[in-house]
Amino acid sequence: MKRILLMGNPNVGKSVVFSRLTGVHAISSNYPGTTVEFLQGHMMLGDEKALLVDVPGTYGLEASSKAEEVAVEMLEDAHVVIIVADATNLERSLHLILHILERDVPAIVALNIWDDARHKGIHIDVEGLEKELGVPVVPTVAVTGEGIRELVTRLPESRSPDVPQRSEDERWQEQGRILGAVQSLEHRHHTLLEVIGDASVRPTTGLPIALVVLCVTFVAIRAIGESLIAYVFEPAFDTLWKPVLMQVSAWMNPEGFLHVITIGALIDGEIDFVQSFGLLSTGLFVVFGMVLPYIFAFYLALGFLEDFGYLPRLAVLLDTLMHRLGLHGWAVIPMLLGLGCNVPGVMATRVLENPRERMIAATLVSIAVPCAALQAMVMSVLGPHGLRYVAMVYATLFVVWVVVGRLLNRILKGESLELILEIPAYRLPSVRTVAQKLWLRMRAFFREALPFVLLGVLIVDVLHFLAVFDVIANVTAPLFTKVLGLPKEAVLAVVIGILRKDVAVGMLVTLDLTPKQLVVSVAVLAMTFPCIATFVVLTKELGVKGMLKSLAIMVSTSLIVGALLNVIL
Amino acid sequence: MPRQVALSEMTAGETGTVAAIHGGRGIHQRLQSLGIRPGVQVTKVTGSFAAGPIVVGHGQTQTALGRGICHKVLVDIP
Repeated sequence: MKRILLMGNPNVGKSVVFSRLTGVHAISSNYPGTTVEFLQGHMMLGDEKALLVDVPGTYGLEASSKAEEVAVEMLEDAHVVIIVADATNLERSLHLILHILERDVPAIVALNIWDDARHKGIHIDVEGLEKELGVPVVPTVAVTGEGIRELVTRLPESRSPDVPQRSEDERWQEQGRILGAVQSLEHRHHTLLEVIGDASVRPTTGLPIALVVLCVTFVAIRAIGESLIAYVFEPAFDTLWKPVLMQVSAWMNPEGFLHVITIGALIDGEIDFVQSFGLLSTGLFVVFGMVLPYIFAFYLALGFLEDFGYLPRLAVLLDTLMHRLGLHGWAVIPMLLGLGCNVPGVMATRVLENPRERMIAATLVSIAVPCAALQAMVMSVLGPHGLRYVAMVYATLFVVWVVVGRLLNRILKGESLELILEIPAYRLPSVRTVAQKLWLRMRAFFREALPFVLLGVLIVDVLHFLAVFDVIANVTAPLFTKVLGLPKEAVLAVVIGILRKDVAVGMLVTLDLTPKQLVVSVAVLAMTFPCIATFVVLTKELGVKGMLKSLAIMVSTSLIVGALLNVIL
Repeated sequence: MPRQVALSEMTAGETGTVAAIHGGRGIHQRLQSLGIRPGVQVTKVTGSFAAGPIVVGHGQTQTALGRGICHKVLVDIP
């Protein structure tokens, strides 16, 4: 099958072009570095089916980063290259275009973000550019789909012009010459988005803006999540699902194995969706009634901030703080993603340049960044006792994040690298791309969460039925009762936490803990073993040795902090 | 009066032309691929706060650079 490559600088809408061409929805964001793992899909080339590969974004072909190495390698056996250029930043795109044209591969240029260029008063003579480059150039607006059809129609016209190998300096000269010949700039006033853009990256105005943005985001997530629970999911479970389950329950022996597995324990003769702990009761309720609404709200907010272009500015503002932890500002990306789910959080540590930074960031994500599922459960379990208990959990995790980060920065050899980061212009996100991304992330959540939550509930039920838990609980009793001040059964929650943190918090509810005990146990749960999915990516990203180190830090920290909390509170 | 200063010493809003970049090949290459190289006109968009990064505008883009790197980029101010 023929291989078509999609190449371009980071943040030029390459992934959106990809999704337009293949129909497979790829994630794209308004910041560099999303496509670390490349995507592939199929498209038609004439009557022939071809493979389209979304190559990680690169600035050149010097192979100075991992992404560029991959790109150079892929270029070896490509049949056609579609180069996605940024019309609002033609200069830099030209650098990559000239580089690629020196290779012996037929190429075509998609001049993307064409609409923004017009708004910014940038005029590009497309025909002139075609003549200068010797390959077809098609203006496109990938987010709306404008120009994509023409791009596909003209794909067969791609060719490899006769270009000499140039030195780096010659390339810059050529680039300047072409730019002067085809581009003219219209002088105009700053747009409102540009003014806001500058204000939100300048420390004096940026820090207050960041505070407002984060607070508004937090409030919005809570509001959306809680309304969904209160007005949609809880009523649905109570009025529609509960009668069905009660009927099913009536057909079975309430003490029997089947009843325990499916419905769980009846509480005062009724199903309690939090405490019954059956597959069809608590299992489904944890996923849909407690976690899903918050996951939805979180990813909606995150997707908007990403596509708007806010995150690089946040990275600049937090750079100084992050340096104290041995990281630079861009490490806020794995942290923020980790607040949704630790798995993408740990995977995103790849945007960092060296192994030391990746080790610190991955460890911090898995130890002190609670995922949305865990947070949703903490909110619903601790919230009714008072928001100050919720605040205690967050404060503890934040302190651990800072202290562990500083310690790792001291202990691990090497220094933290400096930030070099493109600050993209603010763009109003298209509803389509935000929705697309939200859908992709929700789908990933379902694939990940649903089976594991149900498996977790099933294991709890089986072990309960076989009375295995008592054995484990008795062995670890001294640690839990004396050091952490928790009932010995709390160990079971920690064990189940390896599977899913949200199910584990659900188990704590059945133990009748005091608010203080809940704070201790939730904090310990958040910090010890990562859930199995995070564990797998952690091993993949850090290697077995790195993962073991990271794990040792997590377990020891959680015990120390748990014991301290028990004494202090 | 024309003078040459490091990027870090420019005041916010000032514009100049990059004269030289000190440092290894790695830094050269990364800055160059982002479009910062000798001969390019740069405008300092923000000053830094608590030794944080500096944002410079060049061409149609903005780039944030860590403080240490800014010491290594020399700029001619007309």
